[in-house]
Amino acid sequence: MDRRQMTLNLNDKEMDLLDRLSERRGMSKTALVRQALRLYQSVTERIERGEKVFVEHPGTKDKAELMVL
Amino acid sequence: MKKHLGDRRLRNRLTGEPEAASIFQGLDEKNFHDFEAVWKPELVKRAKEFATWAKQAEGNVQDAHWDWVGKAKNEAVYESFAIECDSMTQGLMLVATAPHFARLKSQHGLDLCYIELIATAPWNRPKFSKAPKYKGAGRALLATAISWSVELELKGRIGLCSLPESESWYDEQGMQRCGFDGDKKMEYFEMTEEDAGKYLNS
Repeated sequence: MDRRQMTLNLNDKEMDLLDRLSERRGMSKTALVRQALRLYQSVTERIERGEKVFVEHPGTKDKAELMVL
Repeated sequence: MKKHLGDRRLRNRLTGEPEAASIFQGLDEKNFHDFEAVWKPELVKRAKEFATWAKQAEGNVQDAHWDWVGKAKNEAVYESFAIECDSMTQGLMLVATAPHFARLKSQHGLDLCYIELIATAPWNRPKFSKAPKYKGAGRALLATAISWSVELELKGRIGLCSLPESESWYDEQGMQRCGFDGDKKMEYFEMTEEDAGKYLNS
């Protein structure tokens, strides 16, 4: 995969979140940001197509719409 | 943009000899042409021999309705891969760009690569053709998906929903059944990090 570098400026809270998530998901910070970007891209695509994005509770099957700003 | 990822060998069942094949990321007009002009007419013709979609499994053509070109051109949603041999597209695969999350208990919630579509050319399929040509296209593409997962730091984890006709093949590849997917209405399979490593080394 061809790669280019950039500098990412995060505040303490965001950096802490990045640290914790990368630890929890077993991947580097770079990989986590790339996955987050892919997820955001997917959600954006769907919203632009007029679709709605939901999260569903596995037990009750209650659905909550994911609000994207 | 189409990019050469590497070379493999497919065994020509008719001659018994291995032949050089190339794996690509990104499909081009040749791949689309191969599908539309060569694959699709054969798939559609064979599929018409069966009364129902369930029966199409007997001819290994339950994928005859798949819209490879329409989906592959949606590059924001899918990464596309092809294997070519003898100047022809011998296998195709689409991997979702959006993260998917593992369902197996041992890796539940961790990111994996989700294979949306994967198929070998109709003439390579034992139940489709009386004299299937190349062996190994599906395996080469599945290994490519694992490598792509490794590239994304997902440690080789992959998942997919299988057509009924292909379930036993995924069993043979070492993928684990995770139950029926109610949305896709197909059996869902996953490969773990450990099994992916074994697969690439086998």
